[in-house]
Amino acid sequence: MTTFGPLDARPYAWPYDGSVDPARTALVNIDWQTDFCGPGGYVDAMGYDLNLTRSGLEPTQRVLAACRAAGMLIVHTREGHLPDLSDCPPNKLWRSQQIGAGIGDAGPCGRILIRGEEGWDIVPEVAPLPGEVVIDKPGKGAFYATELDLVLRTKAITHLIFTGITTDVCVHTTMREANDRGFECLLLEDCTGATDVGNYEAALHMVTMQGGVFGAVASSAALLDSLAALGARPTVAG
Amino acid sequence: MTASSTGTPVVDVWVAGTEPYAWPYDARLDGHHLALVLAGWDEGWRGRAVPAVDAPLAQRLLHLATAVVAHGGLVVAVAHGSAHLSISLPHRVVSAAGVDGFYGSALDPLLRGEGRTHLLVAGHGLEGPVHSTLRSANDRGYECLLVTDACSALTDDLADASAKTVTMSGGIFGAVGRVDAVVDALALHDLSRPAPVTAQEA
Repeated sequence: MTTFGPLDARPYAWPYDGSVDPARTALVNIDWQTDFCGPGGYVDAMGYDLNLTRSGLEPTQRVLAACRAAGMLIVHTREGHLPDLSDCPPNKLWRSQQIGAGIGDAGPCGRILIRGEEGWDIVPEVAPLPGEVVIDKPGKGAFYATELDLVLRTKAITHLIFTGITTDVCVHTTMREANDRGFECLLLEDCTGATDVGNYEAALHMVTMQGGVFGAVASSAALLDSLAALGARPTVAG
Repeated sequence: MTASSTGTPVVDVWVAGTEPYAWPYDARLDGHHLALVLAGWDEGWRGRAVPAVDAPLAQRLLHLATAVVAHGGLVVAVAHGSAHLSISLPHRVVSAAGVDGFYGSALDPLLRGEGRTHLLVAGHGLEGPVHSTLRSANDRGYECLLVTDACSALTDDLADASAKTVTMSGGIFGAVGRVDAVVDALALHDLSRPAPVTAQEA
Protein backbone atom coordinates (compact mmCIF):
# COMPACT_ATOMS: atom_id res chain seq x y z
CA MET A 1 0.00 0.00 0.00
CA THR A 2 1.18 3.47 -0.75
CA THR A 3 -1.63 5.33 0.94
CA PHE A 4 -3.23 5.25 4.37
CA GLY A 5 -6.75 5.85 5.57
CA PRO A 6 -9.60 6.16 5.98
CA LEU A 7 -9.03 6.03 9.72
CA ASP A 8 -11.49 6.08 12.59
CA ALA A 9 -12.23 9.73 13.35
CA ARG A 10 -15.17 11.96 14.15
CA PRO A 11 -17.39 13.35 12.79
CA TYR A 12 -16.26 11.48 9.66
CA ALA A 13 -13.67 8.86 8.72
CA TRP A 14 -10.55 10.81 7.83
CA PRO A 15 -9.59 11.92 5.27
CA TYR A 16 -12.72 13.02 3.45
CA ASP A 17 -11.23 11.71 0.20
CA GLY A 18 -10.75 8.20 1.54
CA SER A 19 -7.00 7.81 1.70
CA VAL A 20 -3.85 9.83 1.26
CA ASP A 21 -0.23 9.35 0.29
CA PRO A 22 2.13 10.09 3.20
CA ALA A 23 4.13 12.18 0.71
CA ARG A 24 1.14 14.55 0.52
CA THR A 25 0.74 14.66 4.29
CA ALA A 26 2.48 16.76 6.93
CA LEU A 27 2.59 16.23 10.66
CA VAL A 28 2.38 19.68 12.24
CA ASN A 29 3.60 19.86 15.84
CA ILE A 30 2.43 23.11 17.37
CA ASP A 31 4.47 24.96 19.99
CA TRP A 32 5.92 22.11 22.05
CA GLN A 33 8.12 24.75 23.67
CA THR A 34 9.53 24.97 27.16
CA ASP A 35 7.65 28.25 27.52
CA PHE A 36 4.40 26.31 27.22
CA CYS A 37 5.12 22.88 28.67
CA GLY A 38 8.46 22.97 30.44
CA PRO A 39 9.36 23.82 34.02
CA GLY A 40 10.11 27.53 34.38
CA GLY A 41 8.50 28.44 31.07
CA TYR A 42 5.80 30.99 30.28
CA VAL A 43 2.81 28.78 31.16
CA ASP A 44 4.52 27.66 34.35
CA ALA A 45 5.15 31.31 35.25
CA MET A 46 1.43 31.99 34.84
CA GLY A 47 0.70 29.38 37.49
CA TYR A 48 -1.05 26.73 35.41
CA ASP A 49 -0.75 22.98 35.98
CA LEU A 50 2.01 21.82 33.63
CA ASN A 51 0.59 18.29 33.49
CA LEU A 52 -2.28 19.63 31.41
CA THR A 53 0.02 20.81 28.64
CA ARG A 54 2.52 17.93 28.96
CA SER A 55 0.02 15.05 28.81
CA GLY A 56 0.15 14.88 25.03
CA LEU A 57 3.93 14.63 24.80
CA GLU A 58 4.27 10.86 25.15
CA PRO A 59 1.69 9.90 22.49
CA THR A 60 3.12 12.61 20.25
CA GLN A 61 6.54 10.95 20.48
CA ARG A 62 5.02 7.71 19.11
CA VAL A 63 3.19 9.59 16.35
CA LEU A 64 6.31 11.53 15.42
CA ALA A 65 8.33 8.30 15.06
CA ALA A 66 5.63 6.67 12.91
CA CYS A 67 5.18 9.70 10.68
CA ARG A 68 8.93 10.01 10.19
CA ALA A 69 9.08 6.32 9.26
CA ALA A 70 6.22 6.79 6.80
CA GLY A 71 8.13 9.56 5.07
CA MET A 72 5.80 12.42 5.93
CA LEU A 73 6.91 16.02 6.02
CA ILE A 74 7.47 16.99 9.64
CA VAL A 75 6.75 20.59 10.62
CA HIS A 76 7.43 22.14 14.01
CA THR A 77 6.20 25.58 15.05
CA ARG A 78 7.43 27.96 17.73
CA GLU A 79 5.78 31.12 19.00
CA GLY A 80 8.25 33.84 19.85
CA HIS A 81 9.31 37.39 19.25
CA LEU A 82 12.40 39.21 18.08
CA PRO A 83 14.72 40.25 20.91
CA ASP A 84 13.83 43.94 20.43
CA LEU A 85 10.08 43.09 20.51
CA SER A 86 9.60 44.91 17.22
CA ASP A 87 7.19 42.17 16.10
CA CYS A 88 5.20 42.12 19.33
CA PRO A 89 1.89 44.03 19.25
CA PRO A 90 1.77 46.45 22.21
CA ASN A 91 -1.51 45.03 23.51
CA LYS A 92 -0.05 41.52 23.57
CA LEU A 93 2.95 42.81 25.50
CA TRP A 94 0.72 44.74 27.93
CA ARG A 95 -1.50 41.73 28.64
CA SER A 96 1.46 39.48 29.35
CA GLN A 97 2.83 42.05 31.80
CA GLN A 98 -0.53 42.32 33.56
CA ILE A 99 -0.38 38.64 34.51
CA GLY A 100 3.22 38.79 35.64
CA ALA A 101 4.79 36.96 32.70
CA GLY A 102 5.86 39.83 30.50
CA ILE A 103 7.13 38.94 27.05
CA GLY A 104 10.84 39.74 26.99
CA ASP A 105 11.13 39.75 30.77
CA ALA A 106 13.76 37.63 32.44
CA GLY A 107 12.45 34.21 33.46
CA PRO A 108 13.97 30.99 34.76
CA CYS A 109 14.58 29.87 31.14
CA GLY A 110 15.77 33.15 29.69
CA ARG A 111 13.66 35.99 28.34
CA ILE A 112 10.05 34.89 28.06
CA LEU A 113 8.86 34.10 24.50
CA ILE A 114 11.97 35.51 22.86
CA ARG A 115 13.50 33.72 19.87
CA GLY A 116 16.77 32.03 20.69
CA GLU A 117 16.14 31.75 24.42
CA GLU A 118 16.10 28.42 26.24
CA GLY A 119 12.41 28.69 27.14
CA TRP A 120 11.45 29.33 23.52
CA ASP A 121 13.04 26.14 22.23
CA ILE A 122 11.18 22.90 21.62
CA VAL A 123 11.35 20.39 24.46
CA PRO A 124 13.76 17.47 23.89
CA GLU A 125 11.03 14.81 23.78
CA VAL A 126 9.80 16.02 20.38
CA ALA A 127 12.76 18.08 19.18
CA PRO A 128 13.17 18.59 15.43
CA LEU A 129 15.68 16.49 13.53
CA PRO A 130 18.08 18.21 11.13
CA GLY A 131 16.27 18.98 7.89
CA GLU A 132 12.78 19.13 9.37
CA VAL A 133 10.74 22.29 8.84
CA VAL A 134 10.67 24.70 11.77
CA ILE A 135 8.29 27.67 11.55
CA ASP A 136 8.79 30.67 13.82
CA LYS A 137 5.61 32.64 14.30
CA PRO A 138 4.84 35.89 16.11
CA GLY A 139 1.19 35.06 16.78
CA LYS A 140 -1.09 32.20 17.65
CA GLY A 141 -1.74 31.08 14.09
CA ALA A 142 1.17 29.41 12.26
CA PHE A 143 0.08 30.78 8.87
CA TYR A 144 0.02 34.49 9.70
CA ALA A 145 3.31 36.29 8.97
CA THR A 146 5.20 33.05 8.27
CA GLU A 147 6.36 30.94 5.31
CA LEU A 148 4.23 27.91 6.28
CA ASP A 149 1.69 28.13 3.45
CA LEU A 150 4.43 28.52 0.84
CA VAL A 151 6.42 25.60 2.24
CA LEU A 152 3.40 23.29 2.29
CA ARG A 153 2.32 24.20 -1.24
CA THR A 154 5.86 23.91 -2.60
CA LYS A 155 6.02 20.39 -1.21
CA ALA A 156 2.54 19.60 -2.62
CA ILE A 157 1.11 18.89 0.82
CA THR A 158 -2.68 18.57 0.91
CA HIS A 159 -3.37 16.88 4.27
CA LEU A 160 -2.31 18.02 7.75
CA ILE A 161 -2.20 16.12 11.04
CA PHE A 162 -1.96 18.27 14.17
CA THR A 163 -0.47 17.74 17.61
CA GLY A 164 0.55 20.37 20.10
CA ILE A 165 -0.38 22.97 22.64
CA THR A 166 -2.51 24.61 23.58
CA THR A 167 -5.59 23.05 22.00
CA ASP A 168 -7.87 26.05 22.25
CA VAL A 169 -5.34 28.71 21.37
CA CYS A 170 -2.47 28.02 18.97
CA VAL A 171 -3.61 24.61 17.72
CA HIS A 172 -7.16 25.77 17.03
CA THR A 173 -6.11 29.04 15.43
CA THR A 174 -3.71 27.20 13.11
CA MET A 175 -6.24 24.50 12.25
CA ARG A 176 -8.82 27.17 11.42
CA GLU A 177 -6.28 28.91 9.17
CA ALA A 178 -5.32 25.63 7.48
CA ASN A 179 -8.93 24.66 6.86
CA ASP A 180 -9.70 27.99 5.21
CA ARG A 181 -6.68 27.43 2.95
CA GLY A 182 -8.10 24.11 1.75
CA PHE A 183 -5.93 21.68 3.70
CA GLU A 184 -7.71 18.54 4.95
CA CYS A 185 -7.05 18.61 8.70
CA LEU A 186 -6.94 16.01 11.47
CA LEU A 187 -6.40 16.79 15.16
CA LEU A 188 -5.07 14.00 17.42
CA GLU A 189 -7.02 14.42 20.65
CA ASP A 190 -4.54 12.68 22.96
CA CYS A 191 -1.59 14.58 21.45
CA THR A 192 -2.84 17.98 22.51
CA GLY A 193 -3.73 19.74 25.76
CA ALA A 194 -4.81 23.04 27.21
CA THR A 195 -4.43 24.94 30.45
CA ASP A 196 -8.15 24.41 31.09
CA VAL A 197 -9.90 21.05 30.64
CA GLY A 198 -13.21 22.68 29.71
CA ASN A 199 -11.54 24.71 26.99
CA TYR A 200 -9.80 21.58 25.68
CA GLU A 201 -13.10 19.72 25.40
CA ALA A 202 -14.86 22.69 23.84
CA ALA A 203 -12.04 23.08 21.30
CA LEU A 204 -12.49 19.46 20.19
CA HIS A 205 -16.24 20.02 19.92
CA MET A 206 -15.64 23.12 17.79
CA VAL A 207 -13.81 20.92 15.28
CA THR A 208 -16.46 18.23 15.09
CA MET A 209 -19.52 20.49 15.08
CA GLN A 210 -21.54 20.93 11.92
CA GLY A 211 -20.17 17.87 10.21
CA GLY A 212 -16.54 18.86 10.77
CA VAL A 213 -16.41 22.54 9.94
CA PHE A 214 -12.64 22.63 10.61
CA GLY A 215 -11.79 18.98 9.90
CA ALA A 216 -11.87 15.88 12.11
CA VAL A 217 -10.63 14.53 15.45
CA ALA A 218 -9.05 11.10 16.04
CA SER A 219 -6.96 9.27 18.61
CA SER A 220 -3.27 8.69 18.00
CA ALA A 221 -3.99 4.94 18.10
CA ALA A 222 -6.31 5.25 15.10
CA LEU A 223 -3.59 7.01 13.12
CA LEU A 224 -0.90 4.54 14.18
CA ASP A 225 -3.12 1.59 13.18
CA SER A 226 -3.70 3.14 9.80
CA LEU A 227 -0.02 3.88 9.26
CA ALA A 228 0.89 0.32 10.28
CA ALA A 229 -1.17 -0.91 7.33
CA LEU A 230 1.30 0.84 5.05
CA GLY A 231 3.53 -2.11 5.87
CA ALA A 232 7.22 -2.25 5.37
CA ARG A 233 8.06 0.88 3.51
CA PRO A 234 11.49 2.18 2.75
CA THR A 235 12.29 4.99 5.12
CA VAL A 236 13.45 8.27 3.71
CA ALA A 237 17.18 8.56 3.82
CA GLY A 238 18.53 10.89 6.47
CA MET B 1 -7.11 64.84 30.41
CA THR B 2 -4.50 65.45 27.73
CA ALA B 3 -4.71 66.70 24.19
CA SER B 4 -4.23 64.52 21.13
CA SER B 5 -2.23 65.59 18.11
CA THR B 6 -5.41 66.96 16.54
CA GLY B 7 -6.26 69.05 19.58
CA THR B 8 -9.21 66.83 20.51
CA PRO B 9 -9.37 66.17 24.24
CA VAL B 10 -8.25 62.65 25.04
CA VAL B 11 -10.12 61.10 27.93
CA ASP B 12 -9.39 57.72 29.42
CA VAL B 13 -12.45 55.60 28.70
CA TRP B 14 -12.97 51.93 29.33
CA VAL B 15 -16.02 49.77 28.72
CA ALA B 16 -17.56 48.72 32.04
CA GLY B 17 -17.65 45.09 33.10
CA THR B 18 -15.32 43.64 30.48
CA GLU B 19 -13.29 40.50 31.24
CA PRO B 20 -10.50 39.74 31.97
CA TYR B 21 -9.31 43.35 31.81
CA ALA B 22 -10.85 46.79 31.42
CA TRP B 23 -11.11 47.20 27.64
CA PRO B 24 -9.43 48.71 25.74
CA TYR B 25 -5.98 48.14 27.19
CA ASP B 26 -4.89 51.69 26.30
CA ALA B 27 -8.14 53.37 27.45
CA ARG B 28 -8.42 55.03 24.04
CA LEU B 29 -12.01 54.42 23.02
CA ASP B 30 -12.10 56.84 20.12
CA GLY B 31 -14.86 56.27 17.58
CA HIS B 32 -12.59 57.31 14.75
CA HIS B 33 -10.23 54.44 15.54
CA LEU B 34 -13.06 51.99 16.15
CA ALA B 35 -14.76 49.46 13.90
CA LEU B 36 -17.58 47.02 14.53
CA VAL B 37 -16.81 43.86 12.59
CA LEU B 38 -19.91 41.75 11.97
CA ALA B 39 -18.59 38.31 11.07
CA GLY B 40 -20.82 35.56 9.76
CA TRP B 41 -23.00 38.29 8.31
CA ASP B 42 -24.73 36.08 5.77
CA GLU B 43 -27.77 33.88 5.41
CA GLY B 44 -25.75 30.71 5.87
CA TRP B 45 -24.29 31.52 9.29
CA ARG B 46 -27.40 33.26 10.58
CA GLY B 47 -29.41 30.21 9.58
CA ARG B 48 -27.26 27.87 11.70
CA ALA B 49 -27.94 29.67 14.96
CA VAL B 50 -29.78 27.61 17.57
CA PRO B 51 -32.15 28.90 18.76
CA ALA B 52 -32.86 30.90 15.64
CA VAL B 53 -31.76 34.52 15.72
CA ASP B 54 -34.52 36.36 17.55
CA ALA B 55 -35.77 39.93 17.67
CA PRO B 56 -33.93 40.90 20.88
CA LEU B 57 -30.55 39.91 19.39
CA ALA B 58 -31.33 41.77 16.19
CA GLN B 59 -32.25 44.83 18.28
CA ARG B 60 -29.03 44.64 20.30
CA LEU B 61 -26.98 44.36 17.12
CA LEU B 62 -28.72 47.41 15.67
CA HIS B 63 -28.35 49.30 18.95
CA LEU B 64 -24.61 48.59 18.97
CA ALA B 65 -24.11 49.41 15.30
CA THR B 66 -26.09 52.62 15.64
CA ALA B 67 -23.94 53.80 18.54
CA VAL B 68 -20.74 52.92 16.68
CA VAL B 69 -21.78 54.85 13.58
CA ALA B 70 -23.01 57.81 15.64
CA HIS B 71 -19.60 58.13 17.27
CA GLY B 72 -17.58 57.99 14.08
CA GLY B 73 -17.00 54.27 14.06
CA LEU B 74 -16.97 52.06 10.99
CA VAL B 75 -19.29 49.07 10.58
CA VAL B 76 -17.91 46.28 8.42
CA ALA B 77 -20.03 43.24 7.59
CA VAL B 78 -18.28 40.04 6.49
CA ALA B 79 -20.09 37.54 4.30
CA HIS B 80 -18.67 34.05 3.83
CA GLY B 81 -19.97 32.70 0.56
CA SER B 82 -23.72 33.12 0.92
CA ALA B 83 -25.97 36.17 0.54
CA HIS B 84 -24.93 38.91 2.94
CA LEU B 85 -27.42 40.30 5.40
CA SER B 86 -28.50 43.89 5.36
CA ILE B 87 -28.37 46.35 8.21
CA SER B 88 -30.20 49.68 8.11
CA LEU B 89 -27.07 51.76 8.67
CA PRO B 90 -24.10 52.92 6.64
CA HIS B 91 -21.73 49.98 6.47
CA ARG B 92 -19.12 48.32 4.35
CA VAL B 93 -19.31 44.74 3.13
CA VAL B 94 -16.39 42.42 2.48
CA SER B 95 -16.50 38.86 1.18
CA ALA B 96 -14.25 36.27 2.80
CA ALA B 97 -13.12 33.07 1.11
CA GLY B 98 -13.52 30.97 4.24
CA VAL B 99 -14.62 31.03 7.85
CA ASP B 100 -12.03 33.62 8.91
CA GLY B 101 -13.02 37.13 7.85
CA PHE B 102 -9.38 38.05 7.22
CA TYR B 103 -8.51 35.21 4.85
CA GLY B 104 -9.09 35.93 1.19
CA SER B 105 -10.81 39.25 1.91
CA ALA B 106 -10.21 42.99 1.88
CA LEU B 107 -10.86 43.27 5.62
CA ASP B 108 -7.32 43.99 6.78
CA PRO B 109 -6.50 46.67 4.18
CA LEU B 110 -9.93 48.21 4.72
CA LEU B 111 -9.46 48.51 8.47
CA ARG B 112 -5.86 49.74 8.20
CA GLY B 113 -6.75 52.17 5.45
CA GLU B 114 -9.48 53.66 7.61
CA GLY B 115 -7.18 53.86 10.64
CA ARG B 116 -9.18 51.40 12.73
CA THR B 117 -7.07 49.91 15.50
CA HIS B 118 -9.79 48.90 17.98
CA LEU B 119 -12.39 46.32 16.98
CA LEU B 120 -15.72 45.30 18.39
CA VAL B 121 -16.24 41.76 17.09
CA ALA B 122 -19.74 40.29 16.85
CA GLY B 123 -22.08 38.56 14.42
CA HIS B 124 -23.37 35.10 13.61
CA GLY B 125 -21.48 31.92 14.44
CA LEU B 126 -19.72 32.92 17.66
CA GLU B 127 -17.79 29.63 17.68
CA GLY B 128 -17.24 29.81 13.90
CA PRO B 129 -16.56 32.95 11.84
CA VAL B 130 -16.73 35.31 14.81
CA HIS B 131 -14.01 33.40 16.66
CA SER B 132 -11.79 32.80 13.63
CA THR B 133 -11.99 36.49 12.77
CA LEU B 134 -11.26 37.50 16.36
CA ARG B 135 -8.20 35.23 16.46
CA SER B 136 -6.82 36.61 13.21
CA ALA B 137 -7.51 40.20 14.23
CA ASN B 138 -5.64 39.66 17.49
CA ASP B 139 -2.60 38.16 15.73
CA ARG B 140 -2.57 41.25 13.49
CA GLY B 141 -2.36 43.53 16.52
CA TYR B 142 -5.93 44.85 16.64
CA GLU B 143 -7.26 45.47 20.15
CA CYS B 144 -10.44 43.38 20.21
CA LEU B 145 -13.57 43.22 22.31
CA LEU B 146 -15.81 40.23 21.70
CA VAL B 147 -19.35 41.54 22.28
CA THR B 148 -20.96 38.32 23.43
CA ASP B 149 -24.59 39.41 23.52
CA ALA B 150 -24.31 40.68 19.95
CA CYS B 151 -23.54 37.17 18.67
CA SER B 152 -25.55 34.11 17.76
CA ALA B 153 -24.09 30.66 18.35
CA LEU B 154 -24.68 27.05 17.43
CA THR B 155 -25.35 26.12 21.07
CA ASP B 156 -25.25 27.85 24.44
CA ASP B 157 -22.37 25.61 25.53
CA LEU B 158 -20.28 26.63 22.53
CA ALA B 159 -21.12 30.28 23.22
CA ASP B 160 -19.90 29.96 26.81
CA ALA B 161 -16.73 28.12 25.80
CA SER B 162 -16.01 30.65 23.06
CA ALA B 163 -16.13 33.49 25.56
CA LYS B 164 -14.11 31.62 28.19
CA THR B 165 -11.35 30.83 25.71
CA VAL B 166 -10.86 34.55 25.11
CA THR B 167 -10.40 35.36 28.78
CA MET B 168 -7.63 32.80 29.38
CA SER B 169 -4.11 33.96 30.21
CA GLY B 170 -5.01 37.57 30.82
CA GLY B 171 -6.99 37.91 27.58
CA ILE B 172 -5.26 35.72 25.05
CA PHE B 173 -7.40 37.10 22.18
CA GLY B 174 -8.60 40.32 23.82
CA ALA B 175 -11.55 40.82 26.16
CA VAL B 176 -15.27 40.09 26.30
CA GLY B 177 -18.05 42.57 27.04
CA ARG B 178 -21.68 43.44 26.43
CA VAL B 179 -23.63 45.78 24.17
CA ASP B 180 -25.07 48.17 26.77
CA ALA B 181 -21.69 48.77 28.37
CA VAL B 182 -20.11 49.55 24.99
CA VAL B 183 -22.90 51.98 24.13
CA ASP B 184 -22.59 53.68 27.52
CA ALA B 185 -18.82 54.00 27.18
CA LEU B 186 -19.14 55.56 23.72
CA ALA B 187 -21.64 58.08 25.09
CA LEU B 188 -19.28 58.92 27.96
CA HIS B 189 -16.46 59.49 25.53
CA ASP B 190 -18.54 62.11 23.76
CA LEU B 191 -19.52 64.16 26.81
CA SER B 192 -17.33 67.01 25.67
CA ARG B 193 -18.52 66.87 22.09
CA PRO B 194 -21.69 67.89 20.23
CA ALA B 195 -24.65 65.59 20.78
CA PRO B 196 -24.29 62.39 18.78
CA VAL B 197 -26.37 61.75 15.69
CA THR B 198 -29.47 59.78 16.56
CA ALA B 199 -30.41 56.48 15.01
CA GLN B 200 -33.17 58.10 12.95
CA GLU B 201 -30.77 60.57 11.40
CA ALA B 202 -28.07 58.03 10.67
